[in-house]
Amino acid sequence: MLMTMEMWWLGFTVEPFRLALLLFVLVPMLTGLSRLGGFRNNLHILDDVADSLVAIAVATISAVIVLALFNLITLEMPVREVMGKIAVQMFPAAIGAILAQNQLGGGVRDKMEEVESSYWGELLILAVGALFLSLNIAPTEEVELIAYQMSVWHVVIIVVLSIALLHAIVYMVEFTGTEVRVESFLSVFVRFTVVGYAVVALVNLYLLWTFGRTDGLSLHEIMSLVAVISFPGAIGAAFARLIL
Amino acid sequence: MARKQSATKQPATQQPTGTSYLEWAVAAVGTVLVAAAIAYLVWYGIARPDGPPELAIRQLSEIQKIRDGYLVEVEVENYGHSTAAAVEISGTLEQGGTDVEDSSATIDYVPQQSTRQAFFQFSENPADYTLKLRVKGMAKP
Repeated sequence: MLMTMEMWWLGFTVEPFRLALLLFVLVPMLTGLSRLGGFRNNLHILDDVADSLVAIAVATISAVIVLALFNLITLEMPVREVMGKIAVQMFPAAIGAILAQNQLGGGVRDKMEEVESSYWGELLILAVGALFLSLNIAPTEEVELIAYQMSVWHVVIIVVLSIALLHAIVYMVEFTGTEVRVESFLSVFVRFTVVGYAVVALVNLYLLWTFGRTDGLSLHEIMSLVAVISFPGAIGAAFARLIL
Repeated sequence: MARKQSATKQPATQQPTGTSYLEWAVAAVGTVLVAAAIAYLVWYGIARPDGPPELAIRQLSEIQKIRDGYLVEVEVENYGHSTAAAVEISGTLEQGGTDVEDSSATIDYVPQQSTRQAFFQFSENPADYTLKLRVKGMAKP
């Protein structure tokens, strides 16, 4: 994210209220993630809040250091540009910090067994998985370029393919996990795949809107954009369930 | 509640731990950073003076002789309150009302209240002519 030029540009082109809203969503979202498998086993929700704030502090300071190292922020730049560039990076960097701790820190496996028993927890993981992958792609111009080049039928096919892949991975996780659930195809499909794809699509729509990518587009074009970005988003979301 | 029960069953290394003062201190830093970023953005969103980009171009340094001609460094400053994208600038060498040589450049972005630099390259020595600098146009980002 720090090395994506569209992200630097977003720093000064993004609508300030939308960016503020994104940062506002950040703390509760990280707290939820931390609850599901963050730094440590927390008894109290306040400890999870503390963990997510620590993640934000670490992420912001790292972002500032790296941006300064790349000479992307300097003292001569106006405040607006510097603040924008940092604020845009805070969101992905903080999610990265929490997720890295999930992966690298110990004791995650045991906790994840508990997580799998919570339906809402799984949806949150799907959403964060989609968010984390889409964040890398949503700001780039390639998404728009691909969407413009695709016909309606290409869009339909990519949606079907995304759902099929999501289901395949969800199904795989479901039956290789520690607890084998005997559920019908339809139940898994409706409860996880369809709902999961809807969550992924909504998350992506929100991201595209935040980055101003949906401004001035027709409904058809917005849907094409969401379909294009939900293709990697859905796969990311599905694997997030597998890995997290 | 299920969390608490199973947490106590885990080995000692994974016992739930409280939050130390140091962690709370770092957490406080995080709070300040998020709150400051949100406050700044909202303040900027409310206070932001609207208006188009207002670009001005000026010559920066002395003319530099290079292997294949001459370089003139210029700076574009945006005094306006919105970002200009794909800014096209040009420099023309004139003598007695006729154009002798042209040079142009495109700058990806000139954010509001910011400056960006560029070079014009000429084969003739700009010192012998009148150099006219111009911002030709830009896109809305």
